[in-house]
Amino acid sequence: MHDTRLEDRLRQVLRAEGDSLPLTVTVDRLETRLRLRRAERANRRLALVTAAALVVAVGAGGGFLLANRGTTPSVAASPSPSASAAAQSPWASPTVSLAPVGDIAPYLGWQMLGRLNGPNGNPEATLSGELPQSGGHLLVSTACEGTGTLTITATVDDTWTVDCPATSAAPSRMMPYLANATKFEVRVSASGSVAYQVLIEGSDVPLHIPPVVLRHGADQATMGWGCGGSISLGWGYDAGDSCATTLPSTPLETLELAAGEVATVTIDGWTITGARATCGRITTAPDAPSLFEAMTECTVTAVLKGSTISVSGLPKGANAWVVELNLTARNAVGDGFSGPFYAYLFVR
Amino acid sequence: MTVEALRRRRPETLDDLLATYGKQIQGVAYLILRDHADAEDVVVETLLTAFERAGDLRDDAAFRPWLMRIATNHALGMRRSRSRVVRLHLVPEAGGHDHGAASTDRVALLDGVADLPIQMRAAVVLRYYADLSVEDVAKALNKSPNTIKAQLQTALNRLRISLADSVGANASEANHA
Repeated sequence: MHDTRLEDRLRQVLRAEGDSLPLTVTVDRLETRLRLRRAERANRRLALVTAAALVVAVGAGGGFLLANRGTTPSVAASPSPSASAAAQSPWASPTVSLAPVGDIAPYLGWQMLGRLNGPNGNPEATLSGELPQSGGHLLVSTACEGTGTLTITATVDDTWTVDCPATSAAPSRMMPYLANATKFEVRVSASGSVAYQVLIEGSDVPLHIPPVVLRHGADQATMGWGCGGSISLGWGYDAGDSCATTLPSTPLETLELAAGEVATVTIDGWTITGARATCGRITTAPDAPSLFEAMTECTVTAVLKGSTISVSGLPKGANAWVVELNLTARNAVGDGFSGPFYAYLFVR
Repeated sequence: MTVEALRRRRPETLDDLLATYGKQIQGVAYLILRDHADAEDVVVETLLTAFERAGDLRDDAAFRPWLMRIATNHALGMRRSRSRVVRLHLVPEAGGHDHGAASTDRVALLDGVADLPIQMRAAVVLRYYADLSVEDVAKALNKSPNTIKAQLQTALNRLRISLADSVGANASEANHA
Protein backbone atom coordinates (compact mmCIF):
# COMPACT_ATOMS: atom_id res chain seq x y z
CA MET A 1 0.00 0.00 0.00
CA HIS A 2 1.40 3.38 -0.98
CA ASP A 3 2.10 5.74 1.90
CA THR A 4 -0.65 8.19 0.93
CA ARG A 5 -3.22 5.41 0.80
CA LEU A 6 -2.02 4.06 4.10
CA GLU A 7 -2.17 7.53 5.64
CA ASP A 8 -5.68 8.11 4.28
CA ARG A 9 -6.90 4.76 5.59
CA LEU A 10 -5.25 5.43 8.94
CA ARG A 11 -7.03 8.79 9.20
CA GLN A 12 -10.33 7.14 8.33
CA VAL A 13 -9.90 4.33 10.86
CA LEU A 14 -8.71 6.57 13.68
CA ARG A 15 -11.55 9.04 13.15
CA ALA A 16 -14.14 6.28 13.11
CA GLU A 17 -12.69 4.79 16.29
CA GLY A 18 -12.00 8.06 18.13
CA ASP A 19 -15.39 9.53 17.32
CA SER A 20 -17.35 6.36 18.04
CA LEU A 21 -17.54 6.93 21.79
CA PRO A 22 -20.36 8.98 23.27
CA LEU A 23 -19.19 12.02 25.20
CA THR A 24 -20.85 11.72 28.58
CA VAL A 25 -18.87 14.43 30.37
CA THR A 26 -21.22 17.19 31.50
CA VAL A 27 -20.68 20.81 32.47
CA ASP A 28 -21.81 19.86 35.99
CA ARG A 29 -18.95 17.39 36.22
CA LEU A 30 -16.52 20.05 35.01
CA GLU A 31 -17.76 22.57 37.54
CA THR A 32 -17.65 20.05 40.38
CA ARG A 33 -14.09 19.07 39.48
CA LEU A 34 -13.14 22.74 39.20
CA ARG A 35 -14.38 23.36 42.74
CA LEU A 36 -12.47 20.29 43.96
CA ARG A 37 -9.26 21.42 42.27
CA ARG A 38 -9.53 24.81 43.92
CA ALA A 39 -10.20 23.23 47.30
CA GLU A 40 -7.26 20.82 46.86
CA ARG A 41 -5.01 23.75 46.01
CA ALA A 42 -6.11 25.70 49.02
CA ASN A 43 -5.57 22.65 51.25
CA ARG A 44 -2.15 22.06 49.75
CA ARG A 45 -1.10 25.62 50.43
CA LEU A 46 -2.22 25.21 54.00
CA ALA A 47 -0.30 21.92 54.29
CA LEU A 48 2.79 23.50 52.79
CA VAL A 49 2.73 26.32 55.27
CA THR A 50 2.49 23.71 58.03
CA ALA A 51 5.28 21.64 56.48
CA ALA A 52 7.50 24.69 56.12
CA ALA A 53 7.01 25.41 59.78
CA LEU A 54 7.95 21.81 60.59
CA VAL A 55 11.08 21.95 58.44
CA VAL A 56 12.16 25.12 60.16
CA ALA A 57 11.59 23.46 63.53
CA VAL A 58 13.46 20.26 62.56
CA GLY A 59 16.16 22.26 60.78
CA ALA A 60 16.84 24.15 63.96
CA GLY A 61 17.67 20.80 65.56
CA GLY A 62 20.14 19.94 62.83
CA GLY A 63 17.91 17.62 60.73
CA PHE A 64 16.75 17.94 57.14
CA LEU A 65 13.48 16.13 56.96
CA LEU A 66 12.85 16.16 53.25
CA ALA A 67 16.25 15.00 52.06
CA ASN A 68 16.21 11.76 54.00
CA ARG A 69 12.58 10.78 54.19
CA GLY A 70 12.11 7.19 53.10
CA THR A 71 15.18 6.85 50.92
CA THR A 72 16.96 3.56 50.62
CA PRO A 73 20.57 3.49 51.75
CA SER A 74 23.10 3.90 48.98
CA VAL A 75 24.30 0.67 47.46
CA ALA A 76 26.58 2.07 44.80
CA ALA A 77 29.37 4.60 44.58
CA SER A 78 28.35 7.68 46.50
CA PRO A 79 27.07 10.29 44.14
CA SER A 80 28.49 13.74 44.46
CA PRO A 81 26.01 16.08 42.87
CA SER A 82 27.14 19.58 42.18
CA ALA A 83 24.61 22.29 41.70
CA SER A 84 25.19 25.42 39.70
CA ALA A 85 25.61 28.63 41.61
CA ALA A 86 22.05 29.54 40.82
CA ALA A 87 20.77 26.26 42.22
CA GLN A 88 22.70 26.63 45.48
CA SER A 89 21.66 30.13 46.23
CA PRO A 90 19.40 30.98 49.02
CA TRP A 91 16.23 29.09 48.27
CA ALA A 92 16.56 26.49 50.98
CA SER A 93 12.88 26.77 51.87
CA PRO A 94 10.89 25.45 48.93
CA THR A 95 7.24 26.33 48.84
CA VAL A 96 6.47 22.98 47.26
CA SER A 97 7.91 19.66 48.29
CA LEU A 98 7.99 16.04 47.24
CA ALA A 99 8.50 12.73 48.94
CA PRO A 100 11.00 10.52 47.10
CA VAL A 101 9.05 8.52 44.55
CA GLY A 102 11.73 5.83 44.39
CA ASP A 103 10.09 4.41 47.50
CA ILE A 104 7.67 2.58 45.24
CA ALA A 105 10.37 0.10 44.32
CA PRO A 106 12.96 0.15 47.07
CA TYR A 107 14.50 -3.12 45.91
CA LEU A 108 15.81 -1.30 42.87
CA GLY A 109 18.30 0.38 45.18
CA TRP A 110 17.13 3.97 44.84
CA GLN A 111 19.28 6.71 46.18
CA MET A 112 18.74 10.44 46.27
CA LEU A 113 21.03 12.19 43.80
CA GLY A 114 19.87 15.74 44.38
CA ARG A 115 17.08 18.25 44.29
CA LEU A 116 16.39 21.58 42.68
CA ASN A 117 14.12 24.13 44.28
CA GLY A 118 12.98 27.27 42.57
CA PRO A 119 11.23 30.25 44.10
CA ASN A 120 9.10 32.67 42.14
CA GLY A 121 11.04 34.38 39.42
CA ASN A 122 13.95 31.97 39.30
CA PRO A 123 14.29 31.11 35.63
CA GLU A 124 17.08 28.53 35.46
CA ALA A 125 18.70 25.88 37.62
CA THR A 126 21.06 23.02 36.83
CA LEU A 127 22.19 20.05 38.85
CA SER A 128 24.83 17.58 37.76
CA GLY A 129 26.60 14.70 39.39
CA GLU A 130 27.66 11.09 39.12
CA LEU A 131 25.25 8.33 38.26
CA PRO A 132 25.17 5.12 40.22
CA GLN A 133 27.47 2.62 38.58
CA SER A 134 26.83 -0.03 35.96
CA GLY A 135 23.79 1.37 34.26
CA GLY A 136 20.41 1.82 35.84
CA HIS A 137 17.67 4.37 35.96
CA LEU A 138 17.31 8.04 36.66
CA LEU A 139 14.02 9.13 38.16
CA VAL A 140 13.02 12.79 38.00
CA SER A 141 9.95 13.93 39.96
CA THR A 142 8.43 17.38 39.84
CA ALA A 143 6.03 19.45 41.87
CA CYS A 144 5.20 23.05 41.23
CA GLU A 145 2.69 25.74 41.92
CA GLY A 146 1.95 29.15 40.49
CA THR A 147 1.24 29.97 36.89
CA GLY A 148 3.74 29.01 34.25
CA THR A 149 5.64 26.15 32.71
CA LEU A 150 8.74 24.22 33.65
CA THR A 151 10.92 22.85 30.89
CA ILE A 152 13.12 20.07 32.17
CA THR A 153 16.04 18.59 30.30
CA ALA A 154 17.71 15.60 31.84
CA THR A 155 20.57 13.39 30.87
CA VAL A 156 20.06 11.30 27.73
CA ASP A 157 18.65 14.50 26.23
CA ASP A 158 15.13 13.90 27.37
CA THR A 159 13.10 17.10 27.50
CA TRP A 160 9.59 17.58 28.77
CA THR A 161 7.41 20.30 30.17
CA VAL A 162 5.24 20.50 33.24
CA ASP A 163 2.35 22.91 33.28
CA CYS A 164 1.95 24.65 36.63
CA PRO A 165 -0.02 24.50 38.71
CA ALA A 166 -0.12 20.76 38.49
CA THR A 167 -3.19 19.30 40.15
CA SER A 168 -0.77 17.24 42.20
CA ALA A 169 2.86 16.34 41.84
CA ALA A 170 3.50 15.73 38.15
CA PRO A 171 4.14 12.13 37.11
CA SER A 172 7.74 11.11 37.59
CA ARG A 173 9.92 10.63 34.59
CA MET A 174 12.16 7.60 34.69
CA MET A 175 14.98 7.12 32.25
CA PRO A 176 17.14 4.08 31.77
CA TYR A 177 20.80 4.71 31.12
CA LEU A 178 23.49 2.42 29.92
CA ALA A 179 26.55 1.17 31.71
CA ASN A 180 28.88 3.62 29.99
CA ALA A 181 26.96 6.67 31.28
CA THR A 182 28.65 8.19 34.32
CA LYS A 183 27.17 11.66 34.77
CA PHE A 184 23.74 13.09 35.03
CA GLU A 185 22.63 16.63 34.44
CA VAL A 186 19.15 18.01 35.00
CA ARG A 187 18.30 21.52 33.83
CA VAL A 188 15.10 23.24 34.82
CA SER A 189 13.89 26.34 33.07
CA ALA A 190 10.82 28.10 34.42
CA SER A 191 8.57 30.52 32.59
CA GLY A 192 5.85 32.49 34.26
CA SER A 193 5.78 32.74 38.00
CA VAL A 194 6.21 29.35 39.58
CA ALA A 195 7.75 27.70 42.59
CA TYR A 196 8.95 24.17 42.08
CA GLN A 197 10.86 21.28 43.46
CA VAL A 198 12.52 18.65 41.29
CA LEU A 199 13.87 15.49 42.92
CA ILE A 200 16.49 13.42 41.16
CA GLU A 201 16.82 9.83 42.28
CA GLY A 202 18.89 7.04 40.85
CA SER A 203 18.83 3.28 40.85
CA ASP A 204 21.91 1.23 40.15
CA VAL A 205 19.90 -1.79 39.12
CA PRO A 206 19.94 -1.64 35.36
CA LEU A 207 17.69 -3.10 32.77
CA HIS A 208 20.33 -4.88 30.79
CA ILE A 209 19.69 -4.71 27.07
CA PRO A 210 21.80 -7.64 25.93
CA PRO A 211 23.68 -7.67 22.66
CA VAL A 212 21.64 -9.17 19.87
CA VAL A 213 23.99 -11.03 17.55
CA LEU A 214 23.17 -12.38 14.12
CA ARG A 215 25.26 -15.51 13.48
CA HIS A 216 26.14 -17.80 10.63
CA GLY A 217 28.75 -20.40 11.46
CA ALA A 218 31.74 -18.56 12.91
CA ASP A 219 30.69 -15.24 11.37
CA GLN A 220 28.58 -12.80 13.33
CA ALA A 221 27.24 -9.23 13.31
CA THR A 222 26.05 -7.44 16.42
CA MET A 223 22.75 -5.74 15.65
CA GLY A 224 22.28 -2.12 16.67
CA TRP A 225 19.24 -1.07 18.75
CA GLY A 226 17.16 1.48 16.86
CA CYS A 227 14.52 4.03 17.68
CA GLY A 228 11.13 3.24 19.13
CA GLY A 229 12.16 0.54 21.55
CA SER A 230 10.59 0.13 24.92
CA ILE A 231 11.50 -1.43 28.21
CA SER A 232 9.37 -2.78 30.98
CA LEU A 233 10.48 -3.54 34.49
CA GLY A 234 9.16 -6.44 36.49
CA TRP A 235 7.54 -4.19 39.08
CA GLY A 236 5.30 -2.50 36.54
CA TYR A 237 7.16 0.46 35.11
CA ASP A 238 7.47 0.77 31.38
CA ALA A 239 9.01 3.37 29.15
CA GLY A 240 9.52 3.94 25.46
CA ASP A 241 12.42 5.78 23.96
CA SER A 242 12.26 8.50 21.39
CA CYS A 243 15.09 9.59 19.22
CA ALA A 244 15.75 11.63 16.14
CA THR A 245 16.47 8.74 13.83
CA THR A 246 15.14 5.27 13.33
CA LEU A 247 18.63 3.85 13.07
CA PRO A 248 21.28 3.16 15.71
CA SER A 249 23.83 5.91 16.18
CA THR A 250 26.71 3.54 15.51
CA PRO A 251 27.44 2.10 12.03
CA LEU A 252 25.63 -1.12 11.23
CA GLU A 253 27.62 -4.36 11.13
CA THR A 254 27.42 -6.73 8.16
CA LEU A 255 26.91 -10.48 7.96
CA GLU A 256 27.56 -12.26 4.69
CA LEU A 257 25.56 -15.28 3.55
CA ALA A 258 25.19 -17.41 0.45
CA ALA A 259 21.71 -17.50 -1.07
CA GLY A 260 19.52 -19.98 0.82
CA GLU A 261 21.63 -19.96 3.97
CA VAL A 262 20.07 -19.21 7.34
CA ALA A 263 21.33 -16.82 10.01
CA THR A 264 20.33 -17.31 13.64
CA VAL A 265 19.83 -15.14 16.73
CA THR A 266 19.83 -16.32 20.33
CA ILE A 267 20.08 -14.15 23.46
CA ASP A 268 21.66 -15.85 26.45
CA GLY A 269 19.62 -15.54 29.63
CA TRP A 270 16.57 -14.12 27.86
CA THR A 271 13.45 -15.69 26.49
CA ILE A 272 12.53 -14.29 23.10
CA THR A 273 8.76 -14.05 22.89
CA GLY A 274 8.34 -12.34 19.55
CA ALA A 275 10.35 -11.74 16.39
CA ARG A 276 9.53 -10.17 13.09
CA ALA A 277 11.96 -9.32 10.31
CA THR A 278 11.70 -6.75 7.56
CA CYS A 279 14.22 -5.94 4.89
CA GLY A 280 14.83 -2.64 3.22
CA ARG A 281 17.33 0.11 2.80
CA ILE A 282 18.55 3.27 4.45
CA THR A 283 17.24 6.49 2.98
CA THR A 284 18.89 9.82 3.53
CA ALA A 285 17.84 13.36 2.75
CA PRO A 286 19.49 16.72 3.37
CA ASP A 287 18.87 18.05 6.90
CA ALA A 288 16.88 14.97 7.83
CA PRO A 289 17.75 11.89 9.82
CA SER A 290 18.58 8.65 8.07
CA LEU A 291 15.61 6.35 7.98
CA PHE A 292 15.00 2.67 7.49
CA GLU A 293 12.58 2.12 4.64
CA ALA A 294 10.93 -1.26 4.09
CA MET A 295 11.10 -2.43 0.46
CA THR A 296 8.84 -4.69 -1.53
CA GLU A 297 11.79 -5.86 -3.66
CA CYS A 298 12.97 -8.13 -0.89
CA THR A 299 11.42 -10.43 1.64
CA VAL A 300 12.92 -11.92 4.75
CA THR A 301 11.47 -14.34 7.23
CA ALA A 302 12.13 -14.67 10.95
CA VAL A 303 10.96 -17.92 12.51
CA LEU A 304 11.08 -18.26 16.28
CA LYS A 305 11.51 -21.85 17.41
CA GLY A 306 12.34 -22.44 21.05
CA SER A 307 14.67 -19.62 21.89
CA THR A 308 16.32 -19.34 18.48
CA ILE A 309 15.30 -17.07 15.65
CA SER A 310 16.11 -18.24 12.15
CA VAL A 311 16.43 -15.46 9.60
CA SER A 312 16.21 -16.52 5.97
CA GLY A 313 14.71 -15.88 2.58
CA LEU A 314 16.64 -12.80 1.47
CA PRO A 315 17.32 -12.65 -2.26
CA LYS A 316 20.77 -12.08 -3.73
CA GLY A 317 21.60 -8.44 -4.14
CA ALA A 318 24.31 -6.28 -5.57
CA ASN A 319 24.41 -4.48 -2.23
CA ALA A 320 23.75 -5.56 1.32
CA TRP A 321 20.15 -5.42 2.53
CA VAL A 322 19.31 -3.75 5.80
CA VAL A 323 17.43 -6.15 8.05
CA GLU A 324 15.21 -4.81 10.79
CA LEU A 325 14.49 -7.43 13.45
CA ASN A 326 11.72 -6.44 15.85
CA LEU A 327 12.26 -8.41 19.03
CA THR A 328 10.43 -8.85 22.27
CA ALA A 329 12.25 -10.61 25.09
CA ARG A 330 11.92 -11.13 28.82
CA ASN A 331 14.31 -12.28 31.51
CA ALA A 332 13.84 -14.37 34.63
CA VAL A 333 13.02 -11.41 36.91
CA GLY A 334 10.31 -10.14 34.62
CA ASP A 335 12.17 -7.27 32.97
CA GLY A 336 11.65 -7.00 29.28
CA PHE A 337 12.50 -5.07 26.19
CA SER A 338 10.96 -4.69 22.81
CA GLY A 339 12.34 -2.87 19.85
CA PRO A 340 13.97 -2.92 16.46
CA PHE A 341 17.53 -4.10 15.87
CA TYR A 342 19.40 -3.54 12.64
CA ALA A 343 22.25 -5.08 10.66
CA TYR A 344 23.34 -5.41 7.04
CA LEU A 345 22.91 -8.80 5.41
CA PHE A 346 24.84 -9.33 2.21
CA VAL A 347 23.59 -12.28 0.17
CA ARG A 348 26.08 -13.41 -2.44
CA MET B 1 -16.24 30.66 21.79
CA THR B 2 -13.37 33.14 21.77
CA VAL B 3 -10.04 32.74 23.49
CA GLU B 4 -10.61 36.19 24.98
CA ALA B 5 -13.78 34.98 26.71
CA LEU B 6 -11.81 32.03 28.03
CA ARG B 7 -9.11 34.33 29.36
CA ARG B 8 -11.76 36.27 31.24
CA ARG B 9 -12.99 32.98 32.67
CA ARG B 10 -16.58 33.62 31.78
CA PRO B 11 -18.67 30.77 33.19
CA GLU B 12 -20.29 29.93 29.88
CA THR B 13 -16.92 29.20 28.29
CA LEU B 14 -16.70 25.82 30.02
CA ASP B 15 -19.90 24.82 28.29
CA ASP B 16 -18.59 26.10 24.96
CA LEU B 17 -15.24 24.41 25.40
CA LEU B 18 -16.92 21.10 26.13
CA ALA B 19 -19.28 21.38 23.17
CA THR B 20 -16.58 22.46 20.73
CA TYR B 21 -13.58 20.39 21.74
CA GLY B 22 -14.77 17.72 24.19
CA LYS B 23 -15.34 15.01 21.62
CA GLN B 24 -12.02 15.52 19.90
CA ILE B 25 -10.05 15.60 23.15
CA GLN B 26 -11.80 12.40 24.17
CA GLY B 27 -10.86 10.84 20.83
CA VAL B 28 -7.19 11.78 21.23
CA ALA B 29 -7.10 10.48 24.80
CA TYR B 30 -8.97 7.29 23.96
CA LEU B 31 -6.71 6.44 21.04
CA ILE B 32 -3.66 6.93 23.26
CA LEU B 33 -5.02 5.22 26.38
CA ARG B 34 -7.58 2.75 24.96
CA ASP B 35 -9.80 3.31 27.97
CA HIS B 36 -13.05 5.24 27.86
CA ALA B 37 -13.14 6.18 31.55
CA ASP B 38 -9.54 7.43 31.49
CA ALA B 39 -10.28 9.35 28.29
CA GLU B 40 -13.18 11.11 30.00
CA ASP B 41 -10.91 12.05 32.90
CA VAL B 42 -8.48 13.53 30.39
CA VAL B 43 -11.32 15.58 28.87
CA VAL B 44 -12.17 17.01 32.29
CA GLU B 45 -8.57 17.78 33.29
CA THR B 46 -7.73 19.23 29.88
CA LEU B 47 -10.69 21.59 29.75
CA LEU B 48 -10.09 22.78 33.31
CA THR B 49 -6.39 23.31 32.65
CA ALA B 50 -7.31 25.33 29.56
CA PHE B 51 -9.90 27.28 31.53
CA GLU B 52 -7.38 28.15 34.22
CA ARG B 53 -4.36 28.65 31.99
CA ALA B 54 -5.72 30.48 28.94
CA GLY B 55 -3.78 33.53 30.06
CA ASP B 56 -0.57 31.72 29.09
CA LEU B 57 -1.63 31.39 25.48
CA ARG B 58 0.08 34.07 23.43
CA ASP B 59 -1.16 33.19 19.96
CA ASP B 60 -4.92 32.79 19.71
CA ALA B 61 -4.55 30.94 16.41
CA ALA B 62 -2.60 28.24 18.22
CA PHE B 63 -5.47 27.48 20.60
CA ARG B 64 -6.40 24.07 19.21
CA PRO B 65 -2.81 22.72 19.05
CA TRP B 66 -2.31 24.11 22.58
CA LEU B 67 -5.41 22.28 23.77
CA MET B 68 -4.26 19.05 22.10
CA ARG B 69 -0.87 19.46 23.76
CA ILE B 70 -2.52 19.73 27.18
CA ALA B 71 -4.70 16.71 26.42
CA THR B 72 -1.70 14.67 25.29
CA ASN B 73 0.30 15.61 28.38
CA HIS B 74 -2.59 14.56 30.61
CA ALA B 75 -3.01 11.30 28.68
CA LEU B 76 0.70 10.48 28.79
CA GLY B 77 0.80 11.33 32.48
CA MET B 78 -2.16 9.08 33.11
CA ARG B 79 -0.53 6.32 31.06
CA ARG B 80 2.58 6.53 33.23
CA SER B 81 0.53 6.25 36.39
CA ARG B 82 -1.42 3.28 34.99
CA SER B 83 1.59 1.24 33.93
CA ARG B 84 0.21 -1.94 35.46
CA VAL B 85 -2.91 -1.89 33.34
CA VAL B 86 -2.97 -4.63 30.73
CA ARG B 87 -4.27 -3.59 27.35
CA LEU B 88 -6.62 -5.88 25.53
CA HIS B 89 -6.40 -6.30 21.80
CA LEU B 90 -9.41 -5.48 19.70
CA VAL B 91 -11.42 -8.31 18.29
CA PRO B 92 -13.54 -7.74 15.18
CA GLU B 93 -17.19 -7.59 16.08
CA ALA B 94 -19.31 -10.27 14.51
CA GLY B 95 -22.08 -8.69 12.49
CA GLY B 96 -20.60 -5.22 12.88
CA HIS B 97 -21.03 -2.49 10.34
CA ASP B 98 -17.59 -2.96 8.85
CA HIS B 99 -17.23 -6.33 7.13
CA GLY B 100 -14.58 -8.45 5.49
CA ALA B 101 -11.25 -7.03 4.37
CA ALA B 102 -12.14 -3.53 5.53
CA SER B 103 -12.83 -4.85 9.03
CA THR B 104 -9.59 -6.85 9.04
CA ASP B 105 -7.49 -3.90 8.04
CA ARG B 106 -9.30 -1.66 10.53
CA VAL B 107 -8.51 -4.05 13.36
CA ALA B 108 -4.95 -4.53 12.12
CA LEU B 109 -4.41 -0.77 11.99
CA LEU B 110 -5.94 -0.14 15.41
CA ASP B 111 -3.94 -2.99 16.95
CA GLY B 112 -0.86 -1.75 15.15
CA VAL B 113 -1.36 1.77 16.55
CA ALA B 114 -1.98 0.36 20.03
CA ASP B 115 1.28 -1.63 19.81
CA LEU B 116 3.38 1.45 19.02
CA PRO B 117 5.52 2.91 21.82
CA ILE B 118 3.49 5.48 23.67
CA GLN B 119 5.23 8.61 22.36
CA MET B 120 5.08 7.32 18.79
CA ARG B 121 1.41 6.46 19.27
CA ALA B 122 0.72 9.97 20.53
CA ALA B 123 2.45 11.41 17.47
CA VAL B 124 0.34 9.23 15.16
CA VAL B 125 -2.90 10.18 16.93
CA LEU B 126 -2.12 13.91 16.86
CA ARG B 127 -1.08 13.79 13.21
CA TYR B 128 -3.71 11.49 11.75
CA TYR B 129 -6.65 11.86 14.12
CA ALA B 130 -6.35 15.44 15.37
CA ASP B 131 -4.87 16.54 12.02
CA LEU B 132 -2.14 18.67 13.55
CA SER B 133 0.78 19.67 11.36
CA VAL B 134 4.13 17.97 11.98
CA GLU B 135 5.33 21.22 13.57
CA ASP B 136 2.36 21.34 15.95
CA VAL B 137 2.80 17.66 16.84
CA ALA B 138 6.45 18.43 17.57
CA LYS B 139 5.47 21.31 19.86
CA ALA B 140 2.83 19.20 21.58
CA LEU B 141 5.31 16.43 22.33
CA ASN B 142 8.32 18.65 22.93
CA LYS B 143 10.32 17.07 20.16
CA SER B 144 11.94 18.44 17.04
CA PRO B 145 9.98 18.19 13.76
CA ASN B 146 12.69 15.82 12.48
CA THR B 147 12.11 13.50 15.42
CA ILE B 148 8.39 13.51 14.73
CA LYS B 149 8.94 12.85 11.02
CA ALA B 150 11.16 9.92 11.93
CA GLN B 151 8.63 8.58 14.41
CA LEU B 152 5.78 8.88 11.92
CA GLN B 153 7.82 7.15 9.22
CA THR B 154 8.68 4.33 11.62
CA ALA B 155 5.06 4.05 12.67
CA LEU B 156 3.86 3.85 9.06
CA ASN B 157 6.46 1.17 8.33
CA ARG B 158 5.22 -0.85 11.27
CA LEU B 159 1.57 -0.37 10.38
CA ARG B 160 2.26 -1.45 6.82
CA ILE B 161 3.77 -4.65 8.18
CA SER B 162 0.80 -5.19 10.53
CA LEU B 163 -1.52 -4.80 7.58
CA ALA B 164 0.49 -7.18 5.43
CA ASP B 165 0.52 -9.76 8.24
CA SER B 166 -3.23 -9.54 8.72
CA VAL B 167 -3.90 -9.80 4.98
CA GLY B 168 -1.59 -12.83 4.84
CA ALA B 169 -3.35 -14.48 7.79
CA ASN B 170 -6.73 -13.80 6.20
CA ALA B 171 -5.69 -15.26 2.88
CA SER B 172 -4.38 -18.34 4.66
CA GLU B 173 -7.67 -18.78 6.52
CA ALA B 174 -9.63 -18.32 3.29
CA ASN B 175 -7.50 -21.01 1.59
CA HIS B 176 -8.19 -23.42 4.45
CA ALA B 177 -11.90 -22.74 4.18
